[in-house]
Amino acid sequence: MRQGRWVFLLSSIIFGVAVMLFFALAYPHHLHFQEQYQLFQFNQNYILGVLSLPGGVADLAGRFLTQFFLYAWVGATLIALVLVGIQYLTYRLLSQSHDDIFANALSFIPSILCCCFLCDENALMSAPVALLIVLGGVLSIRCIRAEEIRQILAIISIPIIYMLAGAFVIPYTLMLIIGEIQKESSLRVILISCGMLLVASLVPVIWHQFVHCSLVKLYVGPHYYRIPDDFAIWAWVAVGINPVLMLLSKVLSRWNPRNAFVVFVSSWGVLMLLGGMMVSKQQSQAQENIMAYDFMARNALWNRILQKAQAQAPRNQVAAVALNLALAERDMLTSSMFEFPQNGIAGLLPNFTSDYISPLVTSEAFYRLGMVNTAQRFVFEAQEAIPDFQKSARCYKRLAETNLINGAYEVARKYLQALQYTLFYREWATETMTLIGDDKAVEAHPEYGSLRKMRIDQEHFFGGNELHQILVWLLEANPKNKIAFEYLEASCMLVKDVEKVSRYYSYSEALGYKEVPSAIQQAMLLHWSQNHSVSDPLPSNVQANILQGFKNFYSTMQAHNGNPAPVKKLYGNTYWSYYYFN
Amino acid sequence: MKTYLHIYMNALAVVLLLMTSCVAHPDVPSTSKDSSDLPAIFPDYCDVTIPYNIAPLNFMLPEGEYDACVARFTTPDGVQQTYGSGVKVMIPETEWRAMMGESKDKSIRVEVWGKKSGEWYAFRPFEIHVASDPIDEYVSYRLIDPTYVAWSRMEIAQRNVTNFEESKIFNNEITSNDRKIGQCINCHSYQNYKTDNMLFHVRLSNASTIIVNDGEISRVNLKRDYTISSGVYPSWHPTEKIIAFSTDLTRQAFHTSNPNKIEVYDLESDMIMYDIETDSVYIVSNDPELLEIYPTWSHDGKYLYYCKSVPLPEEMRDQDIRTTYQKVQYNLYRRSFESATRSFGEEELVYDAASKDKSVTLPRVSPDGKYIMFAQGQYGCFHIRHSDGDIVCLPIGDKLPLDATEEGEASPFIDLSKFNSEGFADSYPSWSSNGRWIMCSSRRGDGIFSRLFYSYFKDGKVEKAFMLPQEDPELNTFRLRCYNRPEFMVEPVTISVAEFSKVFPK
Repeated sequence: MRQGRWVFLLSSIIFGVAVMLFFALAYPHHLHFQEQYQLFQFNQNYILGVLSLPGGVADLAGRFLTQFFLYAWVGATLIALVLVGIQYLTYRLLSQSHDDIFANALSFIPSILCCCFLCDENALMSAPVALLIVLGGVLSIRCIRAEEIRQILAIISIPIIYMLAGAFVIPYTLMLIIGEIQKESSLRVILISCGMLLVASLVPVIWHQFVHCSLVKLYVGPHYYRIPDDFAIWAWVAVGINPVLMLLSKVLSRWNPRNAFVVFVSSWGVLMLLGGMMVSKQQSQAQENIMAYDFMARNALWNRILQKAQAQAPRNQVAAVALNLALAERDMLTSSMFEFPQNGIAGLLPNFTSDYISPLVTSEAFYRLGMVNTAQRFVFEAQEAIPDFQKSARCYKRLAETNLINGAYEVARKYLQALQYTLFYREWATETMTLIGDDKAVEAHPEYGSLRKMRIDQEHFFGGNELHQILVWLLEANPKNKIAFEYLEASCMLVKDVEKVSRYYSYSEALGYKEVPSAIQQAMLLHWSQNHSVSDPLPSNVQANILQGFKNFYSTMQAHNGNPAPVKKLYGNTYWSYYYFN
Repeated sequence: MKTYLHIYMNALAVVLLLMTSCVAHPDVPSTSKDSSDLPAIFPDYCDVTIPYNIAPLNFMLPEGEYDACVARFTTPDGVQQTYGSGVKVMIPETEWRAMMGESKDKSIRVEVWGKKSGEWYAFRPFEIHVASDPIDEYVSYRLIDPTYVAWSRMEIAQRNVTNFEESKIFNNEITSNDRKIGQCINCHSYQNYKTDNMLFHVRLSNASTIIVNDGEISRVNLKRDYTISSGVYPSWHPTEKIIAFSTDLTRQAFHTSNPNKIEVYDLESDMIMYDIETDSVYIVSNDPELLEIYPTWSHDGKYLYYCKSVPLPEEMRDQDIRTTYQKVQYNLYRRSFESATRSFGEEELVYDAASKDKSVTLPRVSPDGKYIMFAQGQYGCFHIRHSDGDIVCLPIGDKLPLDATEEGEASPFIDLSKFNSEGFADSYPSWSSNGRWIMCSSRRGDGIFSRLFYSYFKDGKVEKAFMLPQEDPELNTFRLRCYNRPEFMVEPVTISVAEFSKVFPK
């Protein structure tokens, strides 16, 4: 194939662009998600700490790349570059000649498998980087022409590769062995191969004497996946397939098809199609959706949350919490919340669960309400629940903020000092450091100052059961805390306590509502209907259209003998529907 | 052979020369402005009393505020040496040892210069007093994030305080079979400051107590049908193979506005005694109405001291502890112990804290039996979470309660004002094996991240506390973990993490 090099190059570029577009457009929030569960610090202690474990170099490089995931396009580009790099090195490993079409087609397989691996939100970039190191290592050894030197260096390289890339040293060794056997299958080579396997299998045992890490972990990781006890299956398949591909490539290289270009394009096309199908099966748009809501709540993108929810109603707790917060931020919670599915108080301010995902978005709600201590706790707990014990730049930032608001300046200073060693939070940390110890500057700060004023001044133990009372205290501490009012009324509606909805409405006086928010009117009317006869005068703040709506709702419900489906179809966006049928 | 020796000696000399050339011995600034203030060094080592065998007291001036720091140390024999690299003063161990050797029972004069905006300032000199009483070479502590409910990495570490070596005794990464529920490790304890007989607890995943008995490791479940929990706060009898524990149903609650943020309290709390050789658990006390906690043996093992709550006011007794927690106060008691019969005498009130609207926790008797030290706050049993938590010390006399005084008698309380902090939690006190050094865990730096502080204690007089020195003083800034439950040790734990791990199921 004359134009082989250009075709190969083009195929790599198309693959890289496809990967980049996939992660940037279809999966950007997975990248944001990855970034927020690490704190890459440019300081000696952090770097040496990571490097001290086997695979430390791959781990460090993976973490280094992951910090750029804060910007999805940059992250997607880096992933594309790494995967194209893997493809290129695999091609170099498999190719028997300059225009080996089968080697080129097959070389995409490990990268496609890596792409499948990276669709998992707990997959870490250290695994693809480790694969790059392994492939680079094999190619470097293969470059040595002098047989004996090459074989000696191959054995020496095994512990080095283990130190650099971790447990992928086993497939690395297999690749070296296959490479040697493909060159010469003598008894000497078989003995050397056995020696290599022995070294590769003993290296983790030797490391086990020096590092506090279980032997199993030293054989399978130690840090390719966020959940330490889980096995990074796709990553292992991606690296483990290379020895198989080496054998297959050798076999296929004997076939010299007449129309190489057509064979290459069709085999490459089939692989891309299959790869696309595999990635499509591995990727989770449901997870991406949750991460999108979390990302938008983190960045206070309230209008975008509302637009997204209007396009597709949220179906999980994280999204519901973010949506309700966005509604409250836009003073729409008590008017529009039932236009979206509600699942009780768990979708407003859920109780603490010990995981590293949901408490973060809940803490955003507590933070914006002015419940700074509770927000701090939820952020702290989320960080502690990160399964691979990493710290989180997002959490550190919020912990610095909550401590600043609370006036715990020395604690805030420590978090800020740590953030000053990061690439993307350094500037913010340095700016924020000027607030340390300066009460007046904090009070004048548009966000921290208002949150300091909004803080609750009543002492109580926080628990889910005291939520109403705490929201009342927030309002009493700061009668202009509109979000607290919206949450108070919303929480009463969600627990179907319409009496309290009517009672607590008195707190709205200082908040400048032009009319009673529609969901509150609906709740008030419901409360009135439960305690009054038809002849009693209606509450003055209920509008005529709400009253008419209620009459229609009631008559529809009676007409269908309480059957929820037809009533929900017509009145699913009302509080009455939630009250009777949720 | 001679040639080889010659080459070797030359090579060694070159290496030593290279090593020493790395140490900064800067010149003292030729011109400087005098300041009447003591330097704002961190940690604060101005006018402290230290043991001669402590690691170098490395310190720094605040980064950002100062650009450089130079310190000149003058030993009693008049020898001077300067140190300073950036804003840090880091002294090589060999040079520090020499200084200490010259200064036993004397003082080192320290002059500090700080460079700010291109100008040098000479601060008021201070002294470091060197006591000839050594400190126990090792200390062990739990390193833990200042956690609420969840926790991540946790380890029990040991530090050689005569240098900067820190190593792990155990951590929660290896033997936590179920990562979802996690593993908590806590309450390490030793018999007589030695490590042949020691223990620590593991909670949740692989829950058990790890006991080392004459160097043999075993994994024990101390929960019995008749106890409310497995063993919690331990104390080894000084001579017998028995350990006193409290058993506790502990809970946490979270404040909405109180800066203490977290309240730790017990719903129930009793005391048990575990006989290692017979694997038997005996109830020591289990008053259903009151809470008994923090047992500790006297130096000779003839008394068991412990804390016990006082009854709540009548009208509060049926209320949720979350509303009455500020009225839960503990007094200090003791019971005599007959080791031959394993029997206890009658309860005696040692210190009536509740009558002073206070609450006592974590008592520790000095090795000579002359003093008792404990943590005291206004209420509750977990003063490391209370900003009013302070360490209190009383001489042990014949008359009980120990704080009872006749009219005109001086207060028996030892003045610990140089040991305690103002407005920050100080807790978990302990005595060195020679009784000359006291240690506590204190949140005095920032209110959150606790650090270890030591004071010299001699004949009831206590000197200014100093922080455990670190090779890089900035470690205290960047290590965002708490030093929890510090314990003096005269020798290191030699059992490795891997060896401890072997007693857990795979």
